[in-house]
Amino acid sequence: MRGCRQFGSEVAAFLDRELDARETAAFEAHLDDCGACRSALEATRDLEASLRDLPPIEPGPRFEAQFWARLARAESARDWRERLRSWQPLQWLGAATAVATLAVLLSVGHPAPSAQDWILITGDDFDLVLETDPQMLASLDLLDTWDEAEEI
Amino acid sequence: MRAVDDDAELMLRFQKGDRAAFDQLFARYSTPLVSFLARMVSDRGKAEELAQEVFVRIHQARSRYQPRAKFSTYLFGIAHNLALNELDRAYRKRETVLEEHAAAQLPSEAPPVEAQLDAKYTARRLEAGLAKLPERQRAALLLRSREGMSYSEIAKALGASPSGVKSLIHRAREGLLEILGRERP
Ligand SMILES: [Zn+2]
Repeated sequence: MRGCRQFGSEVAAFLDRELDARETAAFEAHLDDCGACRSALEATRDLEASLRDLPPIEPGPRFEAQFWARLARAESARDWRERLRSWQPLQWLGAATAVATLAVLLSVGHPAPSAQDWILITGDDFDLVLETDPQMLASLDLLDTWDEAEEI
Repeated sequence: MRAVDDDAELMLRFQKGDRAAFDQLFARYSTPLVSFLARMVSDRGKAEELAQEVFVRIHQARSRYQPRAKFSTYLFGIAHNLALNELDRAYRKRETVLEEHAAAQLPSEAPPVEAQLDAKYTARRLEAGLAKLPERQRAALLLRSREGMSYSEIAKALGASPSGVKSLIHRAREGLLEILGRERP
């Protein structure tokens, strides 16, 4: 399909009612004279109707339960992070060193972090990593256990 | 604070401790989010995980939430970012399956026969065509055609300019028509 050079890029916005009054009037006047734009408009209308008719993709039966579990993990990660911040010795040590130390403790009995994890863990982006990296979030379940053991 | 729309109103109620308001948002947006994300990442299981993550972010950010834009704009903006991160990660790991292959497994159930008769293109061909579009074009078109968002809302969600969105949608439709025309059975 060869489009119209002058108005071809207006077809989509016209159909979506995203042209202003002046542009709409100009496009409508042009439509009377331009077969290319008329057929582009018709093809785009058909396409839109087909897209609207696409069936939705429904979440599976475990979707909601999985969400609540994911939320619980994220919340415990957040709690742990806040407790870590307020823990005196850590404040003396400085966050970066402390996190590295903690990571050593945690690696006992668990797969050692990869080289990439170490960079992430010891960097200034610590909080960001905890908030965004699902693998780090998953590993925090374990941190909670450790934290409870400290309290006993 | 005055709510921008119904959804933002629910979010403000949730902010004040009304858990049922969150449940309503969750029920309202689970399917649209999973649909959008599945078409963005061509992986239904991953789409569910990302949709859950969107709700986790919303849940955790409730105290900071301010209804500056429509709630759906905010929601799909987060979803779009997560989808792009996921696509980056997949490309880096070179784990992307052939797009046609992935698209062929969406959706799990065949659409009703009536829907296929009404529409010019079958769901299967459309899904496969959508999967071939560049990701930002695909995102803009899905938000327009499936979610009914305006260009300015899409611009906010994608972090683009309104004129950029106009161009994305134009190119997406032109590209999709070309793909569908090329592959006429
Ligand atoms: Zn023309």
